[in-house]
Amino acid sequence: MSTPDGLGSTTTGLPLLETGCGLIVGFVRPDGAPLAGRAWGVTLLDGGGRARVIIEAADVAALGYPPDGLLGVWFAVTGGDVKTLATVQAKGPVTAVDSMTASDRTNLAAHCEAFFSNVEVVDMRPRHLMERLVPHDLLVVELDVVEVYDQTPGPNAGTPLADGAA
Amino acid sequence: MSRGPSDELTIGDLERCFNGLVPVVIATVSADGVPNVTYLSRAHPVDDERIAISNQFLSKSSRNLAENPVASLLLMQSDTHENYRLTAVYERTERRGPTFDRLRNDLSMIAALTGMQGVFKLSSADVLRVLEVEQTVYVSDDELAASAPAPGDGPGPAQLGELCARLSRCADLDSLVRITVDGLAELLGYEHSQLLLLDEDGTRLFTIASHGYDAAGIGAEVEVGVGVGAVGAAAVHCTPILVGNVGQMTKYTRSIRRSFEQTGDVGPGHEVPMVGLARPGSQLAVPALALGQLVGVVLVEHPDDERFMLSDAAMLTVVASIVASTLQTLRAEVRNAGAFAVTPTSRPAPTGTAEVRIRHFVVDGSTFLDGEYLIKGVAGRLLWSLLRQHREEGRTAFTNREVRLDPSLDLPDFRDNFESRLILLKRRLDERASPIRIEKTGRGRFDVVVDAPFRLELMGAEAG
Repeated sequence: MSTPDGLGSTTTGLPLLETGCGLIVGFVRPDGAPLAGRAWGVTLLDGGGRARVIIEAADVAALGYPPDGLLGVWFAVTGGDVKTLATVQAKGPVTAVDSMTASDRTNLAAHCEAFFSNVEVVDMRPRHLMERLVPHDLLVVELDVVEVYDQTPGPNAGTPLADGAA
Repeated sequence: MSRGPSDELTIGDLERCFNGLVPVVIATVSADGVPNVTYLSRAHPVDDERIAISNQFLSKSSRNLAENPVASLLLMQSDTHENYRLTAVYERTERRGPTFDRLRNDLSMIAALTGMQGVFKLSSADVLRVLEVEQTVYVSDDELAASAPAPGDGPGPAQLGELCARLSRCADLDSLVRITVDGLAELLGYEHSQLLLLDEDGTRLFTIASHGYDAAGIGAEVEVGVGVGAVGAAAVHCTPILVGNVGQMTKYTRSIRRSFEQTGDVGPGHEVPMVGLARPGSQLAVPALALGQLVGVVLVEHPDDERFMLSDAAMLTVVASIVASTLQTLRAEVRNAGAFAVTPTSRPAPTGTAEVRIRHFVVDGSTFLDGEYLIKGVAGRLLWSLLRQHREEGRTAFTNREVRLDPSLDLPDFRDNFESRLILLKRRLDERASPIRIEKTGRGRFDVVVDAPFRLELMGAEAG
């Protein structure tokens, strides 16, 4: 759902992650240090109880986990609306690391189209600059959504919105 | 220039990542292994090894850094979208000093845009030492060359010198303000500029000259509260304020304002209007100071982001200083010139036939010509006083010295700004091609020229 001027989204809470917003992720390395990255699409499953997040394969490699080592490690994904900066963060343990499916590729294309269009119109940034950012090698991280926070800039930043899928 | 993976990068190589055009990403992890990832409006370079972030909305990130001092940040070069990942370690929190002051000024600028100067204040700045800079998105040299702007002959000392020479030849205030904005465009390439002067009580600024705006903006009386926007921040801090990302900052401030309104910490307010371009990308406001006192502000704008640099601020500071000093000198000269008594001149018959209706509101000096707003405040009261004397006594010739003593103008003793208001009135009448004009006849002297019959309508308390 878009704002009256057709830009940005009126969606709030967890569903905001699916609206073509700017997506960023936070991993935890084996030594407990963070690793920041970008994401290229989110699909909410089970009414928001789980989420599939498209990420760069190189980020997972950079973490240095053994195969399946990322499972159970907590992961965070944050989405910020390009126009309003309304922002939401979901956190939970990783339950799967998958290759991209056909459905994920459709989601990737839809997310990029919506996100780039918003940035092009709102921030007047050329699309070809945005396209440079999309990695060639992508993976999907699936997580159980355990915590959801309002991260909109301002005094409410960090306020819990709900637990799990609620 | 793009760098290969093997090149070692430092903070100094990431200059265009710190302009606030693209939000910074910061990820931290709590002691029990829960990550947190969020956007920052911007990060600030401290030296070649350190960056600083303001932590007014980063309570979770700050808590995590206290428990686990490593952070991972994403920065993006605004012009090429090259992407960098920094690994940094929390080093210290500062509550004073140059780094803190820089972040505080940045925040104060944001607060000023939202009219929340009293609410939105920096409490501390976190300094992080960068351990590693990794470039994660590369752009080839060919792509960079294709998108780079062609090198041009920007203005330099010769053009600055010529403008200063022109300003120093100005013998009156009207010429000074006109030459300032015209010269900024013609010689220094600033196509959109405004010269604003401080008002009588030192709390507001009014535009006395502008260049490069559409018809609706030319000469319009735009008053800006000190402490509001780039212009207000430059006036309050008496330092140049460079905003290369007006659009991004406006989004950010709107979002913050909404959040504060939801908490009830501030009431719903009107967004503070930005003066000038409808959608500026870059703004640079430079205070005009003379003898340690703020006289006004020079504002230049550009529709594109990141058009101004520190060298622009330095160049405009030279111009603004000369304008301020000349302005004060002219004011003093005019104040001391001109006899009190002026031989009354006979009122020439108006050449026009259509009657002009002048409506003046006592409450705020608002004055309308044929139903169209002209001016308010001191300048409005001044026009009313002059026209009343013209009608009742047939006077056309006046001196600044006598008129400024008119108690109806309500001028303060310590900074009456009379000459600026007179020029503002003259420019507004000229802009409107009004049949009523003010013409300078000598230093500290002027005529009121009326080319049409007019009717005076006083509205408000005194009218009854």
